[in-house]
Amino acid sequence: MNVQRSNWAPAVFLGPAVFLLFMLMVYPALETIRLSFMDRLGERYIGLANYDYALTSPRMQEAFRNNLLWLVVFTSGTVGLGLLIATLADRVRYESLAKAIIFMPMAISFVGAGVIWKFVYDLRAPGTPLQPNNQIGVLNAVLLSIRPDGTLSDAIAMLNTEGVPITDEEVMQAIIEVETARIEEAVDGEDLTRAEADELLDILPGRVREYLDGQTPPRDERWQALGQWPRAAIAAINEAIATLPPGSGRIVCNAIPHACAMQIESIEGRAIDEAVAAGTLSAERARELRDSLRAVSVEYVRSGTRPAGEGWQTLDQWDDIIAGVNEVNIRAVNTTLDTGVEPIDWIRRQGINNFALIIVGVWIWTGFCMVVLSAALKGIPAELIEAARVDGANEFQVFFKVIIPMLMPTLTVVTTTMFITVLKVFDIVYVMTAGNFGTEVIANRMYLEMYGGNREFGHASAIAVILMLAIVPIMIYNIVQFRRQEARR
Amino acid sequence: MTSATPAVTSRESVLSRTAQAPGFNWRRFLGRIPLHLALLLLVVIWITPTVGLFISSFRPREDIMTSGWWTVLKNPLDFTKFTLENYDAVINNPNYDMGRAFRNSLAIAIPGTFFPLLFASSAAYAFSWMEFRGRNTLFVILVGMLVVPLQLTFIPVLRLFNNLGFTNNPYVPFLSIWVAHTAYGLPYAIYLLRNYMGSLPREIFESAYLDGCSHPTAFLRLALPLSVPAIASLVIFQFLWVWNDLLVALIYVGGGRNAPLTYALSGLVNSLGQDWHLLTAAAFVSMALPLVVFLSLQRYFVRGILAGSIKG
Repeated sequence: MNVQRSNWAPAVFLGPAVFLLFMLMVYPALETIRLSFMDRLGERYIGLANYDYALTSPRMQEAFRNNLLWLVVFTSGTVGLGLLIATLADRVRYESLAKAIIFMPMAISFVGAGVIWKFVYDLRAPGTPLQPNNQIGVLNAVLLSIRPDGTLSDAIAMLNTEGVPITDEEVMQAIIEVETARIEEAVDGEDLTRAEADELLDILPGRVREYLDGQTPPRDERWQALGQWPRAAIAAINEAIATLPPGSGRIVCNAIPHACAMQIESIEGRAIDEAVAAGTLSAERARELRDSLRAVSVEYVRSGTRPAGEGWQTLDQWDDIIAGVNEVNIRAVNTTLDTGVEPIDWIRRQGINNFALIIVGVWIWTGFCMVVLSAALKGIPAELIEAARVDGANEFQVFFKVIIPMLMPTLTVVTTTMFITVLKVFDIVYVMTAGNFGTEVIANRMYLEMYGGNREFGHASAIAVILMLAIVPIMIYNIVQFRRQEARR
Repeated sequence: MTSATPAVTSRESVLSRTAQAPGFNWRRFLGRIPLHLALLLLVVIWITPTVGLFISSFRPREDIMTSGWWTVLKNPLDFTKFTLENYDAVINNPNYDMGRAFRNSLAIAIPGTFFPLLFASSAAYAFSWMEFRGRNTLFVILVGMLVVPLQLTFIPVLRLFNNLGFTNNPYVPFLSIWVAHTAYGLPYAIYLLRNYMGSLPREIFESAYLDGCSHPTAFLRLALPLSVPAIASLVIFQFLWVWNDLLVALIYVGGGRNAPLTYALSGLVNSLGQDWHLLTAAAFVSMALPLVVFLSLQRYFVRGILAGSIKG
């Protein structure tokens, strides 16, 4: 280096930055290291007790495990997808558009990303009567659409096949009658204008048809009897069942097994309670019976298989109960049509939720890796690639034997950047789960120790120091890179 | 893009040359279908969550709670299904007050971008073109702060701010967070700008010094103008970083009248829970400006950031 030498100039140029960084980062960091050997108020030296806590407490061990999972899955996800997308996009004309879309999440906040993905992961608890397809989160909707639940018209078709004289049209008619009557009442009560009523009546049959086919009932506040649509449908079905001769319950049960199973459950359940009260059945056995009652009764209705074991109270009457069934209810229909695919609570269910959070991170950071790798990709001399092609290399050989080795320095930089990101990961976890449900990470633990009520400054400081130590190898690597570049200049 | 500069042999031109075989190359076209499908699938996956949020923010509460946002795609031009009420509520209703939060975010982010850039560029110049004892050591210490988890600094800094009267200063309400963001933004800015300035052609600087050019002049007339791509990209990066920051705001501003958008939004996530009509609108209010900045300055931004980070 043979540039100008002077004494004052570096001080002026570096002064503000050096002052601020020493006051707000260097000194506080050293002070925090000191605090890591002190008690929670920073008053008394307590040796390595904080480190003992930071390395062995269950919450911290959970955090270490999760950070390791993040390290592996997040880093390979972001770097792998970034490389894949950069390579693919390099070969198409709409490259800049595709890359802009992938990069866009980098522009928004983790809080915003958290809201976006909480909405994607949204869960509507299952079992809402006759609204099987009402998931509003994309992921659960996709999951259920792969094997959708049955619809009301499926139930009607099943009943019809078994011999119940009922058709979709009759059920629709019943719903239309109820709704029409209430709309006319509303017109009389001047809650609706005539024109509005006519408009509604016009589209009513279409909406009822959709409802039978599994769509959510239309939420237009001008509808007057939405809450009664399921009841009207079930009433029409039960009316048809009532026309069967007495003792035809078997027909209904073949179509809607749960209609009969529920009857058996309630009668048997009561009998078990009575037997326990009378002392003829042990409480323990009664609990076992009740636990298996649902499965046993459904199985009996479906195939007539008698349950094994002692203690059943009303087994002799079960055939009579089945024969006597003369109506169904909403729940029975719903349960029968349920195909068994349950929506998933992505954020709370352990074993899944960590991956759900990591996906949010990958969604945000893949764009970064892609842009950096894409630029490096374009820096590879075209002659080199062409030469390989002329020598007879196919596209895969070009990629693995030419492009990847040329990208290696950039891949290393991107990977280390992701390592640092992952060790510091905080916002996503804080916003989406606050570290609950087994999703704890080191940085969130540190925050909670510090501000989460107990103000355990000693614990928090020790955790922070451990985090630093995990980052040091990467730091050393960066310094080596810097020195190497300095030597080249 | 590259056809305008035929002197440069880019890979794109190599590809297009192979494509110019006589007649339409069916085999090449068919062979590329999986490529397009894979890329398209990834792009759709990436954009769907944001589209869902955007559409939902315009849907009435009842619709959001009972049907998926994708159902409006059947007839997207049915504007009776859309409403601006959600935005009106989150911006103007004092319970949510995202309008005030938006102004607070601006008041935090603009000085929080200007000062670190000013101090970092002068420091980067010193590290690049001045020689003094301990230069490398000092650089390593400052840039080493890049990997210091911010939480490591909070307690001592907060104590310092309290002693100096920065916290809840009646005259300069955002003083704490301005100083904090300035310091926290420095390591990355210094690192990036030093890499960029250090890789400028040294002949330019040497001849300037030979002609008697002083450091301040070389900094203002040479280093800064030549570093505009890196500075521009850093302005955008730092602005978005401050705008999107939650943690630092949590510590140095807290809630109340001065809370920025991220803080307000994370509060709504807790208090509103399943009120998606308000949450989606509030989230979009917080995302609007970053998205505009990113989309309008994107090309410049990407070019600049790569020049800085790849050369390093």
